[in-house]
Amino acid sequence: MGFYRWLRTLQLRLRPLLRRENVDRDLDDELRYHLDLKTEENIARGMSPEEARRAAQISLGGVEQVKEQIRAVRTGAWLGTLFQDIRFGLRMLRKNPGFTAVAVLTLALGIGANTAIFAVVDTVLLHPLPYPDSDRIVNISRSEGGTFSIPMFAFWQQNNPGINDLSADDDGSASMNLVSSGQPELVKARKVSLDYFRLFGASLIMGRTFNTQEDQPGGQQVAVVSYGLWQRQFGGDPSILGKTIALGGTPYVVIGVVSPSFIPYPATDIWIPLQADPNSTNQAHTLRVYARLPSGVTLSQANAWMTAIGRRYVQTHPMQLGGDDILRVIPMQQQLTGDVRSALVILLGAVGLVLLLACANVANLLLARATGRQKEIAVRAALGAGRSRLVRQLLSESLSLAFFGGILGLMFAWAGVRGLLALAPSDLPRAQEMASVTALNPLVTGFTVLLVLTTAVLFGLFPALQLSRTDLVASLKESGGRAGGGPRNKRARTVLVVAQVAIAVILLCGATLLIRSFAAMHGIGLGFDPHNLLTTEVSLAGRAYSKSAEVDQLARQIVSRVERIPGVESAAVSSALPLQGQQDMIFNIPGRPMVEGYKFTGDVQWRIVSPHYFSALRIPLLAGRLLRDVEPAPEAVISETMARKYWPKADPVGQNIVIGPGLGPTFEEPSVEIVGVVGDVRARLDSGPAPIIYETPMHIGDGAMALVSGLTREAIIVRTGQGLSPMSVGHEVQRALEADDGLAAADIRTMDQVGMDSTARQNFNLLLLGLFAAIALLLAMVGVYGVMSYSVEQQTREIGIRAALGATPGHILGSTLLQALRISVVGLAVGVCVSFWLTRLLNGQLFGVKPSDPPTFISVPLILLAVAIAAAWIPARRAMHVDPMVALRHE
Amino acid sequence: MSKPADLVQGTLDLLILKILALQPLNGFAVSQRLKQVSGEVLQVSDGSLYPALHKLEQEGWISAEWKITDNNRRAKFYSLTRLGRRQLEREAGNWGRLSAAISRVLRLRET
Repeated sequence: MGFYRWLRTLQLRLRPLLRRENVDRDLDDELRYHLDLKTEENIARGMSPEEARRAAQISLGGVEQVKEQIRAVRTGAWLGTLFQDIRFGLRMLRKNPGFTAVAVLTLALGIGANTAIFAVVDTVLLHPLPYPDSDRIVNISRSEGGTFSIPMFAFWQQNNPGINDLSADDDGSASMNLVSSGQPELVKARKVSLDYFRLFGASLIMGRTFNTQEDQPGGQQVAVVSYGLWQRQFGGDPSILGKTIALGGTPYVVIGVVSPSFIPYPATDIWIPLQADPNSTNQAHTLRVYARLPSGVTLSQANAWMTAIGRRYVQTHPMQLGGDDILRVIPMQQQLTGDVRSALVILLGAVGLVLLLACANVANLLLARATGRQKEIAVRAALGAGRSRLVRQLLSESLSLAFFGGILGLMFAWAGVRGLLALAPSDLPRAQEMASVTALNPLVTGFTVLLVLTTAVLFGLFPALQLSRTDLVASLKESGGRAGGGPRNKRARTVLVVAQVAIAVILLCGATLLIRSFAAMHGIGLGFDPHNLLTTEVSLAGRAYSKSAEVDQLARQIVSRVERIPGVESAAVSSALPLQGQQDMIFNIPGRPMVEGYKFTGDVQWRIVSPHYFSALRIPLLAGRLLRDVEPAPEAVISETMARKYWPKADPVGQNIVIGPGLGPTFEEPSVEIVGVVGDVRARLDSGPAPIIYETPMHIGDGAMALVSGLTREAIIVRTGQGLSPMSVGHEVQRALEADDGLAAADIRTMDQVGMDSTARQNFNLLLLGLFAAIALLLAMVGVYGVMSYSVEQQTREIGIRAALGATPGHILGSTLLQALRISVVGLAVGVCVSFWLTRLLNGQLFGVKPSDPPTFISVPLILLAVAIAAAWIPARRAMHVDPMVALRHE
Repeated sequence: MSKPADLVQGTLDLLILKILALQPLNGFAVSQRLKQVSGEVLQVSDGSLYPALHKLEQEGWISAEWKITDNNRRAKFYSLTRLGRRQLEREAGNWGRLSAAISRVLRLRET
């Protein structure tokens, strides 16, 4: 029975939709019958026919109202009126193409920008990593860094309490020189342990991955290549398996090709076995470790296990350098995206503010239009439309607007995501995956739909409520076109403009802080002369240059060959590019106390350079002398900051230090004499001057040399003559390296470009936030202009009277501008207060600027004030030129 | 003419159901009958009668049918459905309990 009842109700509810006219006719008939009988009854009581009819109508209370009530009762009618409303809404929009275009475009910008940023957030932060059961893949790290030594990893493997697929990949082989049949190429190579492929579920399209023997120390040298490399270097050769390639001077046999669907992090072209030696004495921390939590094992359990193992390792390995033994197990996704999370969330917040501004603008447009529609609404109300019905109708208009805004916005977003990808810093995690997102996925589309609904309510509800409160009688009485918006409407619009100005202030403050931070990063002296410098990088990782004598020899060859190129003034080689350095080294000063909890005196930046590095980069010598071409005993030059930090009162020149104490016999370099102090250079653009030790390759331990070659790419820095563009010698330099040494020269850039690239993330944030702030400023300007034009129009008569009573044009101009100023100042005050509170979120992204930077908080309000006055200027001029005679006749 | 007391929420439905339980009627007749039987005490405005009738039809308690009346006019006649009869019993029971309770309260004497 329940079903029948349901069916019947459904039929009744659908009927009005399907046969609306029939139902309406039924209603008419029914009520007419009632009225007829009632009239007859009244006549029988002695009324005149007209009187009788009227009395009958009064007793019914208005035919149209009753019909409207009955329609409302028939819930099915709800849908019917919705369709009707939407049809009507569309008609209204078509009749006002200018208004519609502006509103839809504004909304599309807001929705599109939000969707695009959300698509990025979705891929980077929300979407699971592209691995099977990726939520169970964890990263192991310590509070002081994410890398471990080979003995540590081997110990964990032997004492593993139950974490699956414990897998290490070596950070120390990031790029290698590949020589095969084609041109030499600098490839992203990665030494990985046996379980790596199983952990990440990498599938192969050909061949196999390593076996246990191949991952043993001394095992066969085999390689698995990525699909991209296979296509690029080997032209997709189907008989690649079993072929030998030279990687860093070592022959490797290709045994497998990975499917293109496998996306490794970090990006990798070629995988070779780690071949970790459990008996190794190598204490360098270069391994990143991932594992899989077995089902049923929680993160905190795994944390406790790993911490216990870490402790045991420290107790059983006194060789260890000391330091933090608390191991942290965190989800891989968190580890991968942790450092961009806050920036992305800030961008999402900022773009949300832009949408809010867009909504305020459209709401303002609707309110402006509402003034002209008051009469229409009054007529509707008189014909029996209830308030909720009116609001519903006005909202369906807004919904139609938002819908078109959403459609156009999705298109904008599609283009926007591509734009973001093109602009995104190359180290934005998971950008690769985003590139493969061709369609906007359901979550993103759902987000857009949500935005459409929310915006429709946001910008539509306020004006709709305002408008539906229309005073019926007053509106109908008003004459002509000037159905007054009334003070309420004006107040509503003022509130909206105040909100707009406030939001613009917030975005502008954020953008200004980032601009000032950018200026601080790029404005301070670098400590060297970056102009006319060309840089390129080669890889010395691998067996070919594993001895420091070989590296020394190669460096000399490169320098002399490059310096022979016409236009080149000087050249130098360094173990790391300036402004990108992260390569550090521990050292001891004999007789000095160790760092608390560690077995060394200090940990500073370390550069292995060619002797004339300082003159090529124009780094000044401050004390002692520079490095020499011939070095009978190990020598070092240190930076000013290092001298001040470790020898605050004494002269460091002539002192001896130990480089790499306790790292192992092939790493340690006892007794290096400091021969000079040079000027500070900044190791990175977003940090201050760093303490640095410079040495030539001549006496470096072979182990340390191999470590450095693996960790970083060897930088070649070329200074060209005055007035000669550095890039003009790029091709020659590349040819010299490739032809003579078989080294692939990667990333040929000017030093200026290196600087820009090194702050790519900050630049990206700055660009986006700047763009949002510019849009915000524009929208706020339009808002102020709109409300002032409206206000002047409303006051035409008043202005006319004032002019007639002798107010000068100057007075009128002044008072109009003052009105604009008052609105703006309120918005400014609100905006500055909120900004003060919000800009703290930017703290992590700022360099050399405090979040409460006074110049920012002074200049932004001034800028906005200027913009507000500019926006009010045109309406104010119009007010000034009001002709009293015309104005008084106005109405 | 004093304003008739507002009907307690939902009682109009009960009255209509009861009247239709006796015989199928059209809207005008329902309105007449309401006045008759309540001795003009309950003056249900015709404006609220029709929405109420349509609501009851929506609920499935009454059904409507176009018929020719005695004086040869087309009119919409409402009749009680089986569901409506059950609803009437339930509502009447509720009403009885409610009015009995209220009467008891009103009979309380000050002591």
